[in-house]
Amino acid sequence: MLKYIRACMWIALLPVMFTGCKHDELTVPDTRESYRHAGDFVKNNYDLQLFNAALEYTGLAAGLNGEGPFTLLVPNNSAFNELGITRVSDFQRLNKDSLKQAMQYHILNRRLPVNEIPSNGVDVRYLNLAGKEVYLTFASFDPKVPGSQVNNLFVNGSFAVKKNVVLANGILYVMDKVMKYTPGTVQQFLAAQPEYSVYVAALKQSRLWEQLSGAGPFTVFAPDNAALERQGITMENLTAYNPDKYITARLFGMYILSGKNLFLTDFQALSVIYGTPSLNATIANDNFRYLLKAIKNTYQVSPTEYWLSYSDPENPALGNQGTVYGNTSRKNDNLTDNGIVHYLPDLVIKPKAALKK
Amino acid sequence: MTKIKHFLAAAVLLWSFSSCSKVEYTKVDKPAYLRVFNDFNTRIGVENKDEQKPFMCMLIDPEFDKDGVPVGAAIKGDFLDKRDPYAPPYPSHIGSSTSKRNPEYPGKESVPAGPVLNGFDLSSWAQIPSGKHRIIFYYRPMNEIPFFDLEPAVRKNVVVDTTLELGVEEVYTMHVLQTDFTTKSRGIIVRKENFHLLPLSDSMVYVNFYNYSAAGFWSADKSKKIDNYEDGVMRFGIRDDVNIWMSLCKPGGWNTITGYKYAYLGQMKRSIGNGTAPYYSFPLFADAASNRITTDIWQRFTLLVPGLDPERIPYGDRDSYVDGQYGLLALYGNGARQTFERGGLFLPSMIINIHSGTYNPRSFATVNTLEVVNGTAYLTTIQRRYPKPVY
Repeated sequence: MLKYIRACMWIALLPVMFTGCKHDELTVPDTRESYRHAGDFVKNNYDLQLFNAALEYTGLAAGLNGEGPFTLLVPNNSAFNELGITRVSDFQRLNKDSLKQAMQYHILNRRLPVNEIPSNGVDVRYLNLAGKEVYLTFASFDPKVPGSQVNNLFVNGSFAVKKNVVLANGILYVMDKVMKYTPGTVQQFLAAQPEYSVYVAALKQSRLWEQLSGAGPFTVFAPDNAALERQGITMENLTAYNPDKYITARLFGMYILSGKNLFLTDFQALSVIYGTPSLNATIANDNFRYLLKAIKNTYQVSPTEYWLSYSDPENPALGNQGTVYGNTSRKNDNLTDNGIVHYLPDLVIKPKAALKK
Repeated sequence: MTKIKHFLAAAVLLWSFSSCSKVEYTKVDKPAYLRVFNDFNTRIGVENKDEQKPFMCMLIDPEFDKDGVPVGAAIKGDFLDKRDPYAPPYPSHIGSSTSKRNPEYPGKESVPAGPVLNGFDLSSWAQIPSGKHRIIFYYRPMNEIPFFDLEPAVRKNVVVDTTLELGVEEVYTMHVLQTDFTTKSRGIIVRKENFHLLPLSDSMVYVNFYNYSAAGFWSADKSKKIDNYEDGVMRFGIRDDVNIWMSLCKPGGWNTITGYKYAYLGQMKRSIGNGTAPYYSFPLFADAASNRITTDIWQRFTLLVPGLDPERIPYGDRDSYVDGQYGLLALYGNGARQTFERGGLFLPSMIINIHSGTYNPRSFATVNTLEVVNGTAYLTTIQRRYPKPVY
């Protein structure tokens, strides 16, 4: 009988073999320890040297080693070079407060890794430290090609050349362009730029000016004074402009795309997302049509290029005429509160083509 | 003997360490059967990039927090994507995918599916409690985060908000769609199906037609529409009133079988309403040469405005702009595009050919619905049960 009980006890111990021991003191290494904080990372990266200089000049650098979380959309050195900032000392010439605002504009108050950005999201808005929203467009795949991976990220017309760098207190992206945001309306933006003064005067004279303070959104391709002068339009002879002789909506109005909120990189992104690389629409209050397309070479990371042309529906055989090409990146993608302003190097419809018949 | 006793005792002992588990079966009392499609298929491009992508979450009887943000719901149909051209009779090839995007509800959702009702397999319908329900569709971003884990700010974007009454053991097909192409208004169609109540024969193939296109779609400028070659001559929309002509053909091309060349079926009117359309039928073995076990005929539907004769169609196969007067649907094989019928929109055949009993394949008749929405058409097939294959 004792033997029988002993055997039973041995068998009862059997389940013990299947159980494991508990290790309470096991510590998993904290992966974050091997990552640097945002401020340190930027400081130790040569290609982000100018951004770091701006952070130190404006006093933002210290805060970036704090708790966070942050998402940094850091323009690299060539992005600053494009604006004429090539040395650390160049920042000294800038207004500290507005530079601080501009740098805060590049920092989001959250941790945003790539996998949390909606796939093929267009103009997804995220709040930044400046209290404004950035427009994030993520062309992740071509819906017509299953399994395709494009993963191009654009923020306010800038392109992410490096994505998803993990930091101890956030995520970092390297952008190829400084995001340019100016508080106020498109109207205020144009009025403040001396290079567009003739175009502003022309808009005022042709009663196209008032609308630009409205709700919008507007996308404006603004010809500068040099472009207008090449077509014989100057501040002096503008006073003699006869609105009965010209179709104003065509001559000056075609550069205001009302109801559109277009960064130039949108064309690159939307050609992936929706297969529409260009915009072909009728000019407001006119029968002529315009064609706008833009391309960003995401491999060479060259500036976004665009082409703006017009077509006459009564003469379809002539096709698209007067094409103007622009790639002056530093003057394009100027975001305001009610639209975006791009620089146009020449007139698409010359005064001769805008004559009333 | 003692050894056996020892062994038994040990077994009892081990058994005493294990425990019972009770399986809780999900049961819906007095169910209604619901299937939901997202019919949005209009073009979004540079010109209207701010428009919402039709990626949705359906909430039935949602609960809200104090800010009006939904925080829970009795039933949730998340990741509801644009529908597939073919809605199969059972959700097997939807459920086998690894993507979260759901081309229909229930589709990939793990919910109690419908039973076999009057012989029809309703496994593509979800059981939901009958009675009055509030149903809201929300736009959601295209990511894999479940709806209620999204940030509150993006959980407020309503597509349609409606309240409806669902009857006990009634079969409903719901569509969320654009109702007007110019005003971009959105709406919902709740169609109370009647196929399970009609005396439909299992040796006839049935099909009915709906045109759920948005008002003003066909007449709008074609630059505002998707130019998809796969949709054939119909890609820029079809007029509100068209005649339907059916042809039954042998495989490999335009070889009609005797008696089924341009058979007139009836009319299709554009209507965004909850009514059901009449079913048209043709015999499963319309081909006299078939062995009455299996048949390989395909179906070709010609949609033409009244006044046009199908024998004298003024448009060719390669015409892309037919002014909404002509549409061609080719229901062939598994729906893959063929080298002939260039102007056709290819969908799978309505006749199911499958291994059943000792026959491989054996042909089965089905009940079908063809829905034209803007420049494209969708096929929904409902099948009966058939005997298991014997190998």
